[in-house]
Amino acid sequence: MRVRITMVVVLCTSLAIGVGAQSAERIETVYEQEELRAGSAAYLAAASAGLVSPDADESEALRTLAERGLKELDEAEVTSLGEFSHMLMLAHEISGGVWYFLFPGPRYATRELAYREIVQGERYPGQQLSGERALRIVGRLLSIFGEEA
Amino acid sequence: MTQRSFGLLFSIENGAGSGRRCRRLVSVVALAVVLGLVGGGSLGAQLDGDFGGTLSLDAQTGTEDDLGLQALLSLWGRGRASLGAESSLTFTAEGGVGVDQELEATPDLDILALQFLVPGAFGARSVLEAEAGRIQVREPSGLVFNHRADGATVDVSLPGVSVRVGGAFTGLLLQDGSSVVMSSADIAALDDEDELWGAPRLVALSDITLPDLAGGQSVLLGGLFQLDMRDNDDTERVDTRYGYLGIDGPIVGSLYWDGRVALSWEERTVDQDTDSGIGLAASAELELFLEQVLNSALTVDGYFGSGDVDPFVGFTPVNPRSTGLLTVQRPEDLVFGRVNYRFRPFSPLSQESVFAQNTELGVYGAGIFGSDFAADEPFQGIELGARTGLRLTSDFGAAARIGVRTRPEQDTQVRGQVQGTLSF
Repeated sequence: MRVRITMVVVLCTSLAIGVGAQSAERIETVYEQEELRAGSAAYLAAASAGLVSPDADESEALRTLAERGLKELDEAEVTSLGEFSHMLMLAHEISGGVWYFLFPGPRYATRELAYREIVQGERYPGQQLSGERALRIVGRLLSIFGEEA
Repeated sequence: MTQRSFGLLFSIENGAGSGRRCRRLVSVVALAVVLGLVGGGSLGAQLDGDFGGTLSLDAQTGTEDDLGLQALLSLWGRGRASLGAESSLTFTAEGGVGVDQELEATPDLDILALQFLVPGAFGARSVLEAEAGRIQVREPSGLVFNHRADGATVDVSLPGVSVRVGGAFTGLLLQDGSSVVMSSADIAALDDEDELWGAPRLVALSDITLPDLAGGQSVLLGGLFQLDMRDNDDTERVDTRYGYLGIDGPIVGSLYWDGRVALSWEERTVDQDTDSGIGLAASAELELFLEQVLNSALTVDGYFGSGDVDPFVGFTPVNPRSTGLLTVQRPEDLVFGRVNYRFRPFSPLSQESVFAQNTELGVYGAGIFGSDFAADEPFQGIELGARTGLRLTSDFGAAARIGVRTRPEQDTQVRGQVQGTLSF
């Protein structure tokens, strides 16, 4: 059952992002992360928005998002639900609410994506998330914002 | 700021005993929270937390009401300790202060609770959920009790069945924040400026839900026992027991239905004279979702709440559920049927826009009757209404409602309500 879910999530995300077989393996690697790393999170966010090519490396994705306002993060460090939400907001240029406009960052990015039901379940900005959960979030976001917002 | 308003925090002539009880309860809960979170932390649990609040402004008026204004600032905080294997301990605190047009402030503690969640406690696909403190207690029929109270519930969900038991007390709620009104003593207390606390009722409830039966139907069955904890001197006491049954689920396609019925057995005691009787309440709803037509929904619903008409006595819930009508507040001695249509006019414009996807308009019409159809004039009028909910951003919205009620041989009644909300 779990294998089937894995295949469905990876396949859907791969198709949505538009990656080839090699990059699909990268997404499967992300799926298997118990604790999502910042580099992988940035890759998912930037690639799903078409900001970097599916073959881009994680440092390029982080650089691209840093140019849009993301704080400096190390590729290998474990990231949080809030940081990942912020990356998605920046990459897909999602306009947030009043407070995100005034104070853009992980806290109100999480609130925005939770309101839109893109982030479901527990929604603490500081909580860690698995690669599987990150891919599900990207899947829901793409169902609303399409491949390239 | 009156003594009544701030009596919870600073103390108080008539409520000193209850105040001590309240403080003791708060201390116990606070201690449990600290022990729980510290214990969780020392066991290597992951700790997460968040906080926020809401500022809302509400204005309502009508042909038979003065202008009522209220500003409400609510704050909330939540902390969770993950205890491994998906188990968690969550602490929630919610409270706020309301200010009316006379600048009278009313602080209140809405929620102060610990929740213990253990998935898989009784096998695969089972969940054990226990909650204690000041919590929202809702019996599943919605006809009898849905209120904040101090107590605990334990919920066990197994594949194919969910069982819940719980108990709670309403006498530590501030009177301004309590809608538990069942007796003449409760009504008298509402007019007593020195009365700080809400009506003291002890409630015990138990229910079973059978989800996903044949055809996707869910069945619920439950009972609730309510004990009036007022002193038995000159005041009226009302003890009640309830049994309720509900069924809901899909009928065909996107047409859903929901039916609820509750029977009550009540005993009213004044000066050691006790009257007893059976009350009846029932509700039914049909809802048709029309996603392709401006994301709209058509709802037809009806309600019956018995009055003092043979063979029944007036149905007295522990707290009255909202009728959803602007001109009818109490669900007793009442029958109504209503048609409601709501739609989201901008939903086709943009899937990405919070405003387009969440702004809603609605209209409704209801026929209102007394419960005694043998009476000369059971018909009590028609209410026609409209409402709009504007969601400008995810954290800022506004809503407005207006209702017009025509009544036989009486003036037409009009009520309106406007509300704005900013979350942070």
